[in-house]
Amino acid sequence: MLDGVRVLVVEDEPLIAMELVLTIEEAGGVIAGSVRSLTEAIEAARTTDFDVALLDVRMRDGTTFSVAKILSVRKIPFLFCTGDSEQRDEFRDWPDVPLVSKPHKPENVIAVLSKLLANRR
Amino acid sequence: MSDNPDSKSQLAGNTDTHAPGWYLQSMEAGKMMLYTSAVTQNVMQRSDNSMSVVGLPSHGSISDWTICIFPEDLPYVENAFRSLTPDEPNYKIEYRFRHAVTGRRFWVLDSGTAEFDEDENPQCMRGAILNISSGVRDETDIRDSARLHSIEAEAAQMGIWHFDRLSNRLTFSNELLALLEIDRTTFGNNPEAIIRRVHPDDLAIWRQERKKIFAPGGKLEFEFRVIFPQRNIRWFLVRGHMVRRPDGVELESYGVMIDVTERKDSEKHQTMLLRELSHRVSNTLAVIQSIMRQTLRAKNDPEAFAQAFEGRINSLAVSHTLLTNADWQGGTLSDLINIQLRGIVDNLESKIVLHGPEIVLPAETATQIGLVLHELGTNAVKYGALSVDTGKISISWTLLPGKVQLVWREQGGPPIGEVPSYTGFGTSLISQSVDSMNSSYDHAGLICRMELLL
Repeated sequence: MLDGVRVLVVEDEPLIAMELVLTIEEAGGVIAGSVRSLTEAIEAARTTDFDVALLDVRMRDGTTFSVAKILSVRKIPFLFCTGDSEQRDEFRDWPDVPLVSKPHKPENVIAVLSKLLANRR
Repeated sequence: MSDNPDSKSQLAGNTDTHAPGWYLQSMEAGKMMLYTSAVTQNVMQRSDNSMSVVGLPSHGSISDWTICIFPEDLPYVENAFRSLTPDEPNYKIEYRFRHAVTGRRFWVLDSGTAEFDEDENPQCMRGAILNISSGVRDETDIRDSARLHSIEAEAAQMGIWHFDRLSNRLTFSNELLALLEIDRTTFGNNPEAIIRRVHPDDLAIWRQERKKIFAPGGKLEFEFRVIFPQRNIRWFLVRGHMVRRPDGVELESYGVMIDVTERKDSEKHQTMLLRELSHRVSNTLAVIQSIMRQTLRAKNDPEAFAQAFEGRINSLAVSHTLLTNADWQGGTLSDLINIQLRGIVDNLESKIVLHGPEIVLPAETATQIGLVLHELGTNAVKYGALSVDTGKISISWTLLPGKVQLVWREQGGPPIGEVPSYTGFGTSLISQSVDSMNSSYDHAGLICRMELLL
């Protein structure tokens, strides 16, 4: 499914991050990084090597749209993880980015990640 | 008859129509003016009360009359006169007129008859002018009616406004001026200057919504922000409606403006709380899901799964209770330790010693640390210091800039050799939840040091 694919996980709730990490590893993916703050996320987005990213939109210290911009420039595909509170119009600048809602289904996350990578090739 | 025919006291009650002042008095009362116009000579002769009724002298011209007619109504008036014929010489038209002296605008009913020459050209018009304006109010009237409502209005943070469609005059009651902190002299000179006080972001709404009052059955109701001299902003609700004559002609509009800032603020606050609540719920559900899956990975046996899962969910629940009691502002570390271990350990006070300053943990951190404490406590009861009667735990912490260093130290437990290595959820949870951790064992038992970033 995700054979050796390197994934960056951006999620500030540790248990949710843990679950995502385990889900990805169980599907054969490799965790390039699991960051819990916006600052770390921006740093990782700029400097780390990875194939795809998972961005929790609302972190405690801000939204990850700035990270999304960096990834767009680097042409690395990504998806947004959203809770219910996000309004649709927040995503109007990102019409093509897939949204996965919380709580997530592992199969769903893997499916979306696979699709992102397939589109890229 | 008396020597002074103009004396009011003599005319009052005088029903003799031959008395000189009789006609004028009645016409005055009825706001009526009589006239004859000679078309080709451009001469218009008016009754003696013409100065008061229309502001023009009794001997004048048709031109000086025409000048006072509203430009928008001129085509209509001219057309009406042009269409008169000897067969249909009578007219009865309504148009707007501006008093030549006061500038006051009002509607007139102009009715009369035209006389024609042999070539069927109109020679002369003969008729009466009647001021038919109704509902035109001046400032005094506004204030009077406003006084009636003033107590109510003041209590409701409300003020009354009035707009005279004919004179295009906008007036505000004293209450409204006070509410808006506008000086009457400033306002009186340029009421439309209110537009300068409208918040720039609300200008579009203001312009658009105002128009609705002109639609048939039109009512006004919308909210907008007003900027105050001290630069603060308040929300106002405007309500109003248009008064029309039976034929639909607009006469005046009036209504209220209410300060609804408090309501708007509380709505905004509520919206924010709801969004935050929604976000927390999503997160909590995701956390529970994560706990379930990870417990499942470690515990194959349904019995073992159920016990571990229930314990962890309970840890979440007690953290939440603690936080709710503190209105979600955070919970103190000592309260959290107590509440997490109370369910796991009997005789808590005799087994656990706490040492450290009073610290309030933010809500999310509290939940995570709660789980960690639950794990450490459960493990201590199963394998560690609390699995024997002699065991004790000391928990101490120090506050450093931006972080807390916490040490969990077990003593008097079973010999080290018998302690199994912790794997799976418990350990990874602990190491994931805190920002740095290391565990080691000394001669007494497990020592777990962790750093939590605040």
